[in-house]
Amino acid sequence: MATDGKKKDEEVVHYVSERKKRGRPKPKMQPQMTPMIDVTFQLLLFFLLTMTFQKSEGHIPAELPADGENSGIVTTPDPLWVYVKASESGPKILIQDEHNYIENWRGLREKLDAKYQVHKNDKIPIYIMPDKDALWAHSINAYLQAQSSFKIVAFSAKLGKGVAGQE
Amino acid sequence: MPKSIYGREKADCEFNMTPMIDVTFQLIIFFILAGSFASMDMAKLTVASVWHDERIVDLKLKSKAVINIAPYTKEEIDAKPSRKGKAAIWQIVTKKWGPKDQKTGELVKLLKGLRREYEKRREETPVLKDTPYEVVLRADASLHSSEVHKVLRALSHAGFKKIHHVVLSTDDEK
Repeated sequence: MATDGKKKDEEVVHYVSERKKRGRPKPKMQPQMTPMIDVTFQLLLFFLLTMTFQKSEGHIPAELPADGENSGIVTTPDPLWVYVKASESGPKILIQDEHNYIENWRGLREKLDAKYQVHKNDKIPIYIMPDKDALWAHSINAYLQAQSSFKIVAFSAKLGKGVAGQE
Repeated sequence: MPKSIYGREKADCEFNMTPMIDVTFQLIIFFILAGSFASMDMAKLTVASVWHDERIVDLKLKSKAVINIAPYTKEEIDAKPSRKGKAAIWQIVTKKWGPKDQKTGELVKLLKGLRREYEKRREETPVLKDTPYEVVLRADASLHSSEVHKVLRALSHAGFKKIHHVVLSTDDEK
């Protein structure tokens, strides 16, 4: 005999009046914040651990002589030699015909300016001759400071052995 | 009459997530915009710092080969002090040479090859007509000049007339 006419797996639906339905709060849809925050923190940790800041680098244009020698540069008038000595601490520069070492870049620039003022000739080449063991930082600095006064500046094809005037 | 405390509910202490999420997103946006992946051309080394000069400009060359000359690490130098000032790695594009492989002949060959390829491409692409192939040299500041000169000589033999030395600008006069 049927009791209430319903099958066993049918859901029981209780009657809800219209009035009650009006009063029920509407279901809210909310995005799940927890996984989003997890992923956000993962990203942040990744960036914090892998990021390193780098100084922006500039460049100095330079010209090379033909075929590894100073043959491309006209040597009249006579070139002015600038010797960069090997030094672990600061720079140690000697200008041709001078006896005292220059130990800072401002001093070198001022000396070269003074030399230029004496000759006032743009065709005088400056040859930078570093010692074999002179730091590259000192050589390139000397090159740059020489360029501030003279137009033709080049590295010598041969390196110094440690005594001024010798090639 | 004072209000009775017995009926009062316990105060809930809640952590306000909103400003924290705001700051977190600000940080992420900063890192995403400020970061950039290191180029394969840029080996890890410290270029020379030169006393400030207005002629030092930012590098913006379109067609260039970057040559990196990197020194030995501090640990390697401590293990063998004769390595101080010597070049550990020559790197140009993706090709790397260790200390035993550093032969200027091979470098000259590679540079000539790169230049030939570029000249071919330049003939086919009118836009590149006025853009010469140039070389950028990144040498560590602590290297001996003789190490860098080997590369300069190779460049000269390969027919490059113009190169660009990468430097950092500083106010230090020494």
